[in-house]
Amino acid sequence: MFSSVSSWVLSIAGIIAISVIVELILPEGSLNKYIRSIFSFIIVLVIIAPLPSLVGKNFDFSQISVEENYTLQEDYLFQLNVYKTEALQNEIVDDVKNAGYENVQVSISCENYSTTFVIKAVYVELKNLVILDKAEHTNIIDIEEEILLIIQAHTNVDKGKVYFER
Amino acid sequence: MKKLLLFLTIAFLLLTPAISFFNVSSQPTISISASSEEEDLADKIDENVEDQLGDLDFSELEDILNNSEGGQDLFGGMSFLEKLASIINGDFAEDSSSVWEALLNLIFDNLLAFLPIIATVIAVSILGGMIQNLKPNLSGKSIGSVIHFITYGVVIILIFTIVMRMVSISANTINSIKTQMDAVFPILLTMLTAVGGTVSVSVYQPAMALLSSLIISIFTMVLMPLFLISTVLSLVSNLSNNVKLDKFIGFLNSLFKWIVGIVFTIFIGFSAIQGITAGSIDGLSIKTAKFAIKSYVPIVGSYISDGFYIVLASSSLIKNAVGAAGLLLLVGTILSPIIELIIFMLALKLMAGIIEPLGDGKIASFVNTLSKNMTLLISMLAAVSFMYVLLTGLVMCSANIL
Repeated sequence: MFSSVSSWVLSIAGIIAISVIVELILPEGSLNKYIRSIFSFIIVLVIIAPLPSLVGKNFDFSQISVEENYTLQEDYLFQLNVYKTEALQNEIVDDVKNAGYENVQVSISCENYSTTFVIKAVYVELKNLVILDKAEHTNIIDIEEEILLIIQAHTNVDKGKVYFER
Repeated sequence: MKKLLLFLTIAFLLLTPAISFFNVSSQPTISISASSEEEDLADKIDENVEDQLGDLDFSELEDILNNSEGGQDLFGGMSFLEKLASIINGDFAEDSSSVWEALLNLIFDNLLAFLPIIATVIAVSILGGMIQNLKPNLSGKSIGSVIHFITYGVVIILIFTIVMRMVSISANTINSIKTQMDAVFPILLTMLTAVGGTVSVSVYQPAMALLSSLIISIFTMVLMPLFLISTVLSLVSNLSNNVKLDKFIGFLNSLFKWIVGIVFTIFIGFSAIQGITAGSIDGLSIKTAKFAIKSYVPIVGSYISDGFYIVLASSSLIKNAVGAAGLLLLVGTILSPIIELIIFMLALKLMAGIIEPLGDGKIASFVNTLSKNMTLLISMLAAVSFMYVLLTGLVMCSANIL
């Protein structure tokens, strides 16, 4: 492809250079006019020479493809998942504490090796639960329900993915 | 129509980075000047940003920065990571005067470098013209042609040493822009994923791949040869009075311009429209999540103080800073070649203007067509870097948390 284009350009340049040199060498005379017109004819021929070969060729543009595919820095994204789970756990524990329940342990398990942050399950441990005075409920089932509400406010996990351990 | 389009793109270009830079620089300063609670928040974000920067891998970009002279000047001797940290802290526009100084130095250095060639070409062609005018009338027309041939040859040799240098400079610049893209785009996409812009990533990933592979190869494999062909033909067409190829050269030049224009418009149009839509979708999903939290639980209070959103906000800050630093690196790379090309083009126009009245008309018209051809190279570089700047600006604007 490239070699044919460059040979085309070189032949145009060459024929023009030859015509100029011939013009220099030729003596002045009536013949000069004819030779000039012959050379311009040849130049036109050289310029349009590659056009016929273009006709009837099937260009296949489907072969042009974009191969580049960027790889994300996955290590960073995995590490970010860890940061996000830690932050979420702390938030939830703080809010639960504000609601009047101390020593509740919340651990979020997410898909660590995924580029987006997806929560698989939330485990809540109520073994060392201390109920403060400001707490609304004392019944363990009501407490679980309230904690579930708090968890759902921070994350949008379904009820079925939250596991309580008494 | 064309002018309107150009104006719109320029306005858009000027606005997008400006807005994003503003976001980047203003965020921490606001929190610093506020109450102790917000200072505490700023400290938390700083800490988080530092943690996250430690986890990211910038080694490829550091290598590019170490190899680029202009980039090192603009970065003020800082490493990429240090510059990133300083951009996040809001010291973006601290040394704009040094940038102007570097720019002026560059312009005058180039002017001085081209001066000897300008002087020689002018002297040779004026001498040739004078001999042409003063030669005895008897000796006929062919002596005149020989004199023209010789002066023309000398002028061509002088000018083409620089033209070939310009061609290799612009080819190298396009290649280095490509390597920069290949280093910056993965990090930008990573940051976009980290912020939660999944729709934006699915739009920008193919756009970036298209830009750095297909469009760059169109520029180097189709447009570069087109420029060379039109240069060679403009050389040949001024050899004699009889054979003129001006119209054919005009065809090649307008082919070049149309290819650049079509590629540019289609790429910018698609990526801007898709990107803006995707960005707003992402922003909406992030915001609805936030509102849901606020309305459900009255205890939570201001949600930006939540740890989770601090993580997201730090990622978003890093994303914008990476974009800004990447653009700075781009400016460092293209500034010197573009200025060199512009000054060479202007020098050619000046030469043509000086040669025309005194010397040979054909040499003047050759130099003039060459200067028109140099604008093709300039527009090529400008188009590639415009597309890069626009894409980066779009990524910086989309899926912002704050």
